[in-house]
Amino acid sequence: MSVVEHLEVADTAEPVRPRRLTSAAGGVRQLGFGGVFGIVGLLTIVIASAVGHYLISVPRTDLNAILQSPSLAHPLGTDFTGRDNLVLVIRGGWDMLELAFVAGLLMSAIALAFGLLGPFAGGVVDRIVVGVTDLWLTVPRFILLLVVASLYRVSSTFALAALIAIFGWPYLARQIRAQALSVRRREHVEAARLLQLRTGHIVLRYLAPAIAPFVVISTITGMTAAIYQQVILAFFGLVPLTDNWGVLFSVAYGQNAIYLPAAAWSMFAPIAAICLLQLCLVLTSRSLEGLFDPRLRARR
Amino acid sequence: MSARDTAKVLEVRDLTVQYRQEDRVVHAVTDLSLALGHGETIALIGESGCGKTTAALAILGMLPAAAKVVSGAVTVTTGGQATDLLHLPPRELRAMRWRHVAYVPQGSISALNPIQTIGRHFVQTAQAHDLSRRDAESRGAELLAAVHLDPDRIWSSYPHELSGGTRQRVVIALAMLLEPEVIVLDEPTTALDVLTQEAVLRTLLELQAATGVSYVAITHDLAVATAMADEVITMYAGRGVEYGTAEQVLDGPLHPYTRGLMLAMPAVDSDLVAEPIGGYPPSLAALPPGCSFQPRCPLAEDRCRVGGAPPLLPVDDRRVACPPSVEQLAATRGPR
Amino acid sequence: MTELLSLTDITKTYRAAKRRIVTAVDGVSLTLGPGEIVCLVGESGSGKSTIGRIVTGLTEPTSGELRFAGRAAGEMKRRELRAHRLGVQMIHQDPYASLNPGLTVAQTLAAPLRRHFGLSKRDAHARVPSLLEDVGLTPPETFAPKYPHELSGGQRQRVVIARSLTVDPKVLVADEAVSMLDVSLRVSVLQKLRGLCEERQLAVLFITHDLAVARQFGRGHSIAVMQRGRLVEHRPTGDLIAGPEHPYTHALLRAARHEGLRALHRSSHTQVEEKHA
Repeated sequence: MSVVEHLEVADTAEPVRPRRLTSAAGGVRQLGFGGVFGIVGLLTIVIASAVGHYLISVPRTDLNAILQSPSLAHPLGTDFTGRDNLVLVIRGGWDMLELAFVAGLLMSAIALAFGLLGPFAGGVVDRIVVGVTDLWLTVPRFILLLVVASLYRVSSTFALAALIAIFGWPYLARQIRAQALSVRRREHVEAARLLQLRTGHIVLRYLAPAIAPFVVISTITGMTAAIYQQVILAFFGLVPLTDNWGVLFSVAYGQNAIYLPAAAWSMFAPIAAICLLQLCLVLTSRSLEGLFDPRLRARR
Repeated sequence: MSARDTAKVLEVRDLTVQYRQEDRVVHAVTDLSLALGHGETIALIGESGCGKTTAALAILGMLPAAAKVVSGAVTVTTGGQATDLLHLPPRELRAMRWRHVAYVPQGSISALNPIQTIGRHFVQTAQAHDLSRRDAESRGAELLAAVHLDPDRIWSSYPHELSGGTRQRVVIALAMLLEPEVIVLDEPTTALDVLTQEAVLRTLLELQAATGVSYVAITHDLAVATAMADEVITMYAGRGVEYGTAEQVLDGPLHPYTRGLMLAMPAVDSDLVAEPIGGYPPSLAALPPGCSFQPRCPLAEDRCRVGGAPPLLPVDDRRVACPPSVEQLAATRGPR
Repeated sequence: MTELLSLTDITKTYRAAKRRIVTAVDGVSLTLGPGEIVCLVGESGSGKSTIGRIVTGLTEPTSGELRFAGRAAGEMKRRELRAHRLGVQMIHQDPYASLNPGLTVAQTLAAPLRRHFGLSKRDAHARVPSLLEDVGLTPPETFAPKYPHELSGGQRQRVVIARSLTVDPKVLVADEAVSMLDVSLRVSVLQKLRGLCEERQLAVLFITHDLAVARQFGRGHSIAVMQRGRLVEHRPTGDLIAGPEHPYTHALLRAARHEGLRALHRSSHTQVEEKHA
């Protein structure tokens, strides 16, 4: 518990000192160790994946070097066709990131639209929106996703991301709706309504800041969910065949990598990469909470 | 007054507590002393920022880690044995707490766990102090009845189902669970309606008459002090600036701040228009030189603005930390 | 005196859990003229806050008539009604919750100026210092760029008052406006508020549970007492305090004086002394 909570904030001429994020040092301290690790980790993964995608060419298969343990030539070993695991992992990130970001952002966009439409339009529209959201929530969406993905061959990562987003928005929409309804009743929003400020102004300056942190954090959570869903889909072979981590993982598993110690590397390398990405996403989202609320800022 | 000669159940001597932050020192409490006897009530009067909450936490041994006790002692005497709470190891402190010194915090809703029934609160508290469940139930029912609540209805209720006044009484009953010698009441009537306030204060007085428990009442509401207190300490900027009995301080305040406070509180009966005290209380991290009140004080003289804080001067059997007002009083009484 | 606002037989009921009907307000009638102060006193659950919300338009009454300057709200066209509603502003109890935490004081005050008077950003911000001085926040330059969490409770409440005055209201509803402030600061905020209202001849509905504050603020005006949704007594302040007619008012006054308690304290003290003698 911070000290400030135990001190009474006196009605003084010199009240709580302003702590603005004016310095980088202040900002870094604000994020905490986890936040810095998460953001730096994310940046590293993004840069490494970009390098891998644009600059490094597809590793050659080398049937003389099948399923090797790590060595100087191959720091993470090789897979069942003799390709270097490290290169595969570096190259496999771009696709995952594209999927995660597109799916996360699309999911949030749809959820925002549905979540805010109801409280604002009110009346019949609200009821329809709530009905659709609830219906969509009760349907076993992931199973449906599997079925749809297998019926219509998904041809690009973007299409897959869109599919995941379409199946994933209702939960977030419900939460956004609840937030919007509660924020509307807050006293400063009521005051704004009494002053008859423009609706656009109220949405932008009152509602959005109140739900923005929530949306950002939920987007990141959506990304982590999309990544997991993609890995599972890869296991079912329903994913377009680019060598992203999910695919690498499922292929290695399919090659019985868990039975062969040397081969295990070709499986664990993509798993570790996925876990690292998820960890960075989670750490980042946790540390962002403090950044958004000026009150939380002062307390740190 | 025979009560004052009996052994004190709680004594605070020259307590000084500071919070050390990265770039400044907050002088939360400075040189506070008090003595509380059996069945007595002492009221710490002051507004936000005067250090009374820190003082209360010190008495309870609940100061946060960031607080540094620079000096002083908090002694609780129970069963003939005196214990210094400030220097007890945590385990013994926890044993003392609730058994000998209990706490009714400000805002009953935040003191209760919203997902637990009231009964569960009693049982949990009791079990944490090695009481059996059955004892908890019987004693709990007894206490709820003592605070004029229906035990059957309340035991299985959740905090949000109860009104503010009822919750406050539940928290009081919880505090009495282990028959402590001292209960610290933090703003016992804030956020309560005036009729409910009266009922709660009445309950507190009845409990005191029945069990002889002593209260430390922290409040900014002079009415609470008027209703309950035997002795009163006015706190300002972390220091006790006026000490005396309730009659003395409330009917005839000497310290300019206490007087200012009285004048600033509109009274239902008084025709007088309430007058504000000009200026603002000082930040505890940036106290003015000399007397902390001098920037706002109508009696301030040059000597008030230099040096350290003015000492507590005895007047009859009270104490006031204000040389000008003491001298003024002596002058009006005439030469002896 | 022309009436700015009148409530006739206003009732508000709503359905609570388990199909119970709760009556928050039951047949309340009140009028407010320019420069008139009515202190609405009652405990929690008395319906006084609901009246405040009905007057400002945040809640619709279940039945009864609300009139602005003699015209019934129900008869007005939407635009006319909105114009009247703008003239009724509210000051909430919690000064922190009533301010947008993401806006500076200057932005908070400038927004309604820009919206309703078509001022540019620069012009609106130029008006802010005088608004701050009106409510006693001097020097204005120190307060204008601050965020709400950088201000103390009393300062925030003054900003809220300033904000409500930006649209030149005719009626102010103050709902427990000083209850969350320190005791010695209440007086200065009350004095400032009363001064502003007298200066601008505003009608004020001052809602509070504290009779002493009501007496102070409503000096020379009237106090209306509410109990369980009903208006039980409405008389000039001095008369009501000196001689309450309704038993509930009587009980409130007694409690406000803490008459019974001092006696109880003294007698209980003797008991304790006897016990331990």
